Amino acid sequence: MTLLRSLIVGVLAVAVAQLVRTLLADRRRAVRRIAWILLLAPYFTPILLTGYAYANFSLSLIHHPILNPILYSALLWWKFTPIAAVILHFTPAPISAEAIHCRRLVSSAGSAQRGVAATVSKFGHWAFLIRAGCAAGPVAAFAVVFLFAFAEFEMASLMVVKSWTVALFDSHAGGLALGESLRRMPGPLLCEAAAIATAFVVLGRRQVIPTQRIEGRPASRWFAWCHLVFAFVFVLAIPAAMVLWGTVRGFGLLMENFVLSREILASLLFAAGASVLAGLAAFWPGAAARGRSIGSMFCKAILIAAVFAGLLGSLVLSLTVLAAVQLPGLILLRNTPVPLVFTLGLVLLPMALVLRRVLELTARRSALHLTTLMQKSRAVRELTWKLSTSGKFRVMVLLFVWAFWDLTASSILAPIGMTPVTVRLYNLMHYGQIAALSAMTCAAFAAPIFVFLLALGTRRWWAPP
Amino acid sequence: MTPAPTSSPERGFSRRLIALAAIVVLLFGGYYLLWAPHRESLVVYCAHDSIFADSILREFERETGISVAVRYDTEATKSLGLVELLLQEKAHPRCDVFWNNELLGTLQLAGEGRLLSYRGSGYERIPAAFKDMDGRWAGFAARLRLWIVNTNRLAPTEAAVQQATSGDLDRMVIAKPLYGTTRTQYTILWKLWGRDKLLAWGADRRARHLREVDGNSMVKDLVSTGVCDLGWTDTDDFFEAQDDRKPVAMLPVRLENGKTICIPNTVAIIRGTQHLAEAQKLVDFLLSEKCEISLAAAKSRQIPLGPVDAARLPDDVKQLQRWANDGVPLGELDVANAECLAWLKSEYQ
Repeated sequence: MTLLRSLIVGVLAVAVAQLVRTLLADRRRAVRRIAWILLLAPYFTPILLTGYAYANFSLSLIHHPILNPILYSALLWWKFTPIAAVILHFTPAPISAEAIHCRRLVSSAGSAQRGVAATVSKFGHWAFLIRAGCAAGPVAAFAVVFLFAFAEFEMASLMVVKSWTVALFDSHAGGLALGESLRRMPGPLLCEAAAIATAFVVLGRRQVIPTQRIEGRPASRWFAWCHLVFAFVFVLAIPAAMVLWGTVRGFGLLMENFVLSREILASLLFAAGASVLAGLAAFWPGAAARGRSIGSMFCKAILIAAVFAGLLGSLVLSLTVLAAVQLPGLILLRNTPVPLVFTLGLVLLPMALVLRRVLELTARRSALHLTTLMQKSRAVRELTWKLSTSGKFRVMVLLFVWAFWDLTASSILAPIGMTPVTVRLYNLMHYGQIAALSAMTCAAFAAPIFVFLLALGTRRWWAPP
Repeated sequence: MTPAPTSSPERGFSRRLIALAAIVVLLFGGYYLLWAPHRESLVVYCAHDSIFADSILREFERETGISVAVRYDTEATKSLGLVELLLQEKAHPRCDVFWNNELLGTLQLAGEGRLLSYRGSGYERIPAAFKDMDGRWAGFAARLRLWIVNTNRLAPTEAAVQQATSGDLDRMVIAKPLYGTTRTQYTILWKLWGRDKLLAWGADRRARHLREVDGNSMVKDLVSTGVCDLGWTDTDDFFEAQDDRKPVAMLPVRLENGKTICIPNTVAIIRGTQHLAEAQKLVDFLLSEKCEISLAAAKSRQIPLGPVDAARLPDDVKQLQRWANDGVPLGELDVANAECLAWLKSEYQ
């Protein structure tokens, strides 16, 4: 069931992403900006918020067992289409649309002369496009969306949808040993490994990113806009409105008894630790892994192993780490933040590497090189920030926010006395949607935003002298 | 001539990340020094809902000066949860006291030799039906299994419930019996009826489209919103719906012999504890009259099992107490627990 759902979500996401891409590469800056905001906002919406908002509604669909999985699939589609769109945007076809058109004209003229049927000619055209590497972007986008949809756990659990991740979790809840559970799951793990390998192979070969402007047909542009608006409304706006409405009513209660301060602080610390770990691994050994020396090869091997582990998803990884810290050699780490920070760092690493790759591909190298040749000054520092460091800073912020909103690893691995805020909120969400809880959720939302603003104040420190 | 660059932006950024890592490590250190539980803290694994248990444990801290570090069970981890964790940690226990919100997990731990015997002042005031004769655990502050009925759809009478459950069960909902108090209910039925009758009964209910969801709170939500007409849940969930002014009513679930199902919280000391004296104090505190009255006055309306001053009990709880007096004895469920759980796992996993 999960496999079929993930395949469908993957195909639909790539199909829509092809249309959305035209908006992202529009000639008008304002259009591009709105499209990017509408595209990325649902993706960065914490899954806990969306799941919380729809948990009651999905429960009310108990007499319509088909509708709930459809709603869940639609939410997955809206939430993960941005990944496909971003991949397609940054990995366009290596040959231009004009070149493809010219080839089509030449080959159709040739086919007409030779009397070959049009269908054969069309097949040849597709084969040519695939050979030329035009399918690489969509294949990679499909593989990554499939992987995310396939490994999703939190929303499936909140919306009571059947999924292999929930089944794995339940089998553990019933006391099944990790080894036995994993032995029951060779199929899912094989699917994940295949998707990971596909994405690696295809994305690893991409070298350039031409920033082309694309013109789409009006109908497809309208469809793309509709998709973006629906995604924004259903994944972010409705859940946020529900929480904000509750916040207005529960604000007084929250002020009377603000009980989440320690949990928010713990979450901020875990998120900081995990994002720094993932950032370090992506930007430091990530850079060292290039080249052919023994050291580089070693770095590469470690990174590949770490990325593979991270792509298994936080559920499988957390359960494995939980089993590992029961071993005599690692038992000292059991009640420390190390297992959780390490696990979150691994989970974030693949995305950190992808984002680093995007930064590399979009970097204006010659301009950056020129700044390194210039005399040190405040203006040069500002320029370096704009050309290079600001992108990395944004990557770190994203990693931080992702880590902050993790639920699965936090609920399994947080040490006693350091309960992250997501675990506490999720526990309270068990009692339904109440005003005070919505206010607490809102406060938890504000925390990483506050940290982001604080960090933005230190921007000069991030740009090297 | 233009001077050569002294450092690349790439290297500079990595250096700043390393500096940031050092700051984060320092912050973790600060957090640990200020707030993290100390080595002397009493570690409590608590399966009872945190919003009710937290105030009790903080009250214990205030009264005794003993610091308590709590690990709560969450919906996310269910009972990967505490009983499994306690079994996994057998060789290196870190938990001192286990506050379970039901009985079967505690029985399992007792059977595995994970609990220490203690008969303190609290143990003495609990009736024999709700404690282990060897002193390995004691029950307190119980819940009842209930029929929750949506009064807009059904009259809250035994006859109406009988009528509604005689045909198709599409409008009836229960929690999956693999976990929690529904599992206790099934285990009791296993003991009363034996394997074959329970299996046939379960198959018949499923054939009649009985709805099963993940927990008792979902049962409460479905019935209180009218999506389903009736279901089985616990008293604490029922009162949540009633306090929200939902159109619900309750009836006790009665077995064929007329007995009700009263499921206590249980408390036990974990073998291998490094804080035995403190653990004993907490056990006595939880089993005290004061604690039972606090839990009875809470929104969950837990039913006191030991003798208490009736004048201090809410009216709701007094009614529950009368039903709880008809409770089926929960002793000697060990064998039924193991067998029934094995069957449930084969059915639901």
